Amino acid sequence: MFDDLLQLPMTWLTVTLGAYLLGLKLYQQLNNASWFPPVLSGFILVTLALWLTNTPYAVYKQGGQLLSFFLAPVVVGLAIPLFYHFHNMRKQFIRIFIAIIVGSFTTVIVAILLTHYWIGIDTITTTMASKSVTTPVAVAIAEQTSGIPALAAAFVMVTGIIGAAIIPSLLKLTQLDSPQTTGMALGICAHAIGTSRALELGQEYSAYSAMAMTLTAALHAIVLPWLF
Amino acid sequence: MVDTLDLGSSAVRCESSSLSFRTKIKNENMLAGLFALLVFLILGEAIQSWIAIPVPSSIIGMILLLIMIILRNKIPKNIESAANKLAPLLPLFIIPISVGLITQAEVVEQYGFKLLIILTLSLIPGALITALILKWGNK
Repeated sequence: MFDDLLQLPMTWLTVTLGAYLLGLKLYQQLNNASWFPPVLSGFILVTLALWLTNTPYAVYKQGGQLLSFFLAPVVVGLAIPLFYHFHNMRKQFIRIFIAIIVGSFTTVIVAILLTHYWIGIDTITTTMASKSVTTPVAVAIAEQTSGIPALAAAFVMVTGIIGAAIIPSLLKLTQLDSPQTTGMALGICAHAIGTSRALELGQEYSAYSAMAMTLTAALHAIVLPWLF
Repeated sequence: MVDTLDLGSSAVRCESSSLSFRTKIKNENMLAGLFALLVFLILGEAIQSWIAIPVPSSIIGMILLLIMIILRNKIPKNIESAANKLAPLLPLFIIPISVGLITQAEVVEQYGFKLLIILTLSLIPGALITALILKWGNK
């Protein structure tokens, strides 16, 4: 009977929800530590459950996709922050827009070139292209460009964690730090995780970071699929 | 994703009404908003297959919604309420995707370390160039 339960989408939906809630608790216990977001702990817990019960991913997916479907309406809803940001940055539009275009494509091109010459597997290179945007958009891009959505989500998470950790000190070290530069570098290179790091640095940092994150995501989602 | 600030003010505005009334109105708003988001998503899907462009359908839906907001110069309250309710749940929606990583164990095992280095190295020029352009433009 237990084996039958493990085949049900409902079971895995519930396990995922439980893992998320537990992950959220852990995150709060650790004072919102950006290196251990609920996504990471939830991922570890669900993977552990699948491993312990010897459940294949195809079975899990039946339940999991009921939740991940909602990524699509979330992406549609990004129009709202996008509108706010357009509104707020009218005065410095050109400078900010150039910084976003050049900055975000620099990090992506460097990553693509390194992957191409160092690993040389096309699906991984394609997936690497979507590393600098927030996960729901990265997943949509990966699906569109025949990259690997799971790998894209992992790249985005790792980039976000490392970026949030090193970018503020990197810019401090090079004496380039200010709410605008650090905030935008965090948003462009470390998307949502960077933005939550920016929130710790201050309101102004996080405003720039959120703006840069949203614009980068929209820009990359429109441009990248044509190139791969 | 951090734009949940307005949620507070609208909640305060509703403070005077009774609790049950407030939740009822809010839930209806939120469902109407979710409905609208899904309609935009379907429109995005339709346009994508119609003119065969490679942009993800959810992004086309987002652009359509953005155009509507710009034309009306006002954000529909119920769509905002739905977006604000969904956004904090993002990690929950992402977990099932990231679990797919177990099908990529080979890639992670074989290239995990290289990928980690690539991801770290590529951040540095991106962050520096962003900061330099902003600094340079400020002068």
